[in-house]
Amino acid sequence: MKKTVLTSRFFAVTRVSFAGLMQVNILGLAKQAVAGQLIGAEAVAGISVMLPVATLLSFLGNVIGTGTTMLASYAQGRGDRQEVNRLYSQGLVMCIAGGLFMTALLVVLREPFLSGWLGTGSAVRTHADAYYKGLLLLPLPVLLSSYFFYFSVEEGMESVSYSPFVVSLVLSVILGYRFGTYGIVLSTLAATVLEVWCNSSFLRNEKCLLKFSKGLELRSAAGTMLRGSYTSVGMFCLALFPLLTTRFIAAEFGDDHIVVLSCVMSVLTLVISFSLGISDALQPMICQYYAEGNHLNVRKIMGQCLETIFLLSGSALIVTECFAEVLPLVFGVTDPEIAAASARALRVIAVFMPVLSFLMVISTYYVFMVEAGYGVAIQLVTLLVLPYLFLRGFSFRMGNDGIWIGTGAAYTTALVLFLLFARYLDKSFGHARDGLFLLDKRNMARQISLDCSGTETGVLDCLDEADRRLREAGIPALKRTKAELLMEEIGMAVVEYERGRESWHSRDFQIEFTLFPGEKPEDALKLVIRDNAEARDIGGEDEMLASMREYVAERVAMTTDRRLFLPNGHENRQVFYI
Amino acid sequence: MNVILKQDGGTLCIAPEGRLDSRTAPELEKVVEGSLNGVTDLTFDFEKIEYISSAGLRVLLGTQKIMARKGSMRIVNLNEIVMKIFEMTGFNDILPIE
Repeated sequence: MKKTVLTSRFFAVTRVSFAGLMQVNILGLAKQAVAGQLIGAEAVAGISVMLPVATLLSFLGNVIGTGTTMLASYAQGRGDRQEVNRLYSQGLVMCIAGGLFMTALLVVLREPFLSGWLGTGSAVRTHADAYYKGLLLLPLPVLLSSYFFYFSVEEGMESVSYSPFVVSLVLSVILGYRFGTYGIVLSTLAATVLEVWCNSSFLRNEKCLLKFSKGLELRSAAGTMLRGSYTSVGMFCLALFPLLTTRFIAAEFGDDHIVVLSCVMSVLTLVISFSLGISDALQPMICQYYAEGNHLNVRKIMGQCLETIFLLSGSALIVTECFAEVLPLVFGVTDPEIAAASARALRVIAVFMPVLSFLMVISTYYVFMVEAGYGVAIQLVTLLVLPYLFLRGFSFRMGNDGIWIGTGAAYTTALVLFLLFARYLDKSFGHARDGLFLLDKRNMARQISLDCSGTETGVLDCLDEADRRLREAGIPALKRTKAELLMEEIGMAVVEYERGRESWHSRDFQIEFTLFPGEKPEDALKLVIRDNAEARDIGGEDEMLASMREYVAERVAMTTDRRLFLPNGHENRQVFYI
Repeated sequence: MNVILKQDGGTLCIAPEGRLDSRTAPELEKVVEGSLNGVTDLTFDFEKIEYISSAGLRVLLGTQKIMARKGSMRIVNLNEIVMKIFEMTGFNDILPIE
């Protein structure tokens, strides 16, 4: 695969997201395993029934985090850095207020939740209560940790810290052994506080351009929550589904069978959270490119994203099919009948993982774009409405196994419905949109996107290609010449600057030139030059001129209608309107 | 890059063709360096030049420095676009354009 600015960033973001999600999910599994081995199967069930509450906290963190970063990414795509700073500060205030509110709410709801709503027996409830006690302290750290993570990715973070994972794992064993279920939730609390510190370290770094600025606007905050709610519907469903199902399973099959749900949900949560998490992490890239009008890159990211998700869900399918018998034992299940039922459930549900992953990725994408309502509808139908209806229907006929066969049938039905819906959308847009991603075909046909490695030859080859394509598009000679001059001078200056650096600083980098001709040749021609070399405002008026290239770039830039320099983490972006 | 040279005693006319960018400027530089012996009057005929970047301007600037000691240099027949580039960059005030 050709390495480009886009693929480099895609894999960096996916790596961060993957590492983060792996930690969260392995921790979730490990803690249940610790509970199962050190305390007993009732503890696993007790934690399982409380996990939706923890997921709801993550949901709120997700709402504020993704909602704010989505708006910030659009602002970044437009080049409005002041608005990015304002949104960041506003989100931070929302996290603190939300965290305190959630703690108060959990205190108020403790009694009714534990005594009435769960509908479980007293053994499970004792462990659930112990876990709930720890949850009371979690809201603020969870919200801040999630918020800082999303904003760091938006700002270009390309690494993730593993220390909270290790701390949490070690503490869960020590505290779980010492204090039982309460100790396990305490280990989560300690790790989350550490996570807040680690996730915010990139934002505290001098490389990060974020600045705290006053400007809490209620309308904007409400808009953030609404956007964030749309993006977090999947997580909400993920929390609600086991809550609804727990009541149903406990009533129909008894408390013993809740552990089957725990096994299935742990694997399902892994797959869904990976699909949603990777999509969420890619959201800043997608929104920035979309706001820039760069539909070709949006399509490239989504294509890459689907490939990655199919690879991951396919691997999860194989692993689950191979080790279906092991997970119930890890969770401390001793009853052979329940263990066998758990293994069968895992085997059935694993088959549908690629389908589920695809639906999650595509629906999250719809949420990011203007078609947010469609995305929300797909997620609600796929994760909640159809599975709940189908599992009830199938379990009446087929017993316990029917729950999971019904859930799988629901995912398949959701896929069929989605494909029919996509055909309808294509028709309703008059076939003007591109495939499943609903991107403007005319925009993409006009756009010229050229990638090269950071070498002289690469830049010059792009220049030749740009000249040919701009002539074909009928762009007036002066406009074309200015664009080509900027491409050559800035591109070559970046290459020469990187080559001139000390060898231990220099690194492999790429450059991307994107040209956006208007509908008519006389319309403004937009040029975006992206590179992932060291941040440097080449040709900028405030920058000290280091070479003749930079002098020429600056002089040509002065004749353009507008110029923006937008560094973002490890990416430099120059935008010109010619 | 195609470069046509016409020499008449101490007078030399260099007529490059096409684009004068970072790829082709070193070629022109070589041709110029090898042809300046005994030249006192140098003309760059830019009739067939359609684009010039800093790399090309650098060659002209270097040649002008040499010619300032040996005689004179001028650039002629610039098309509208190339003239605009000279104006944008301010090189029309530095280099002798006719």
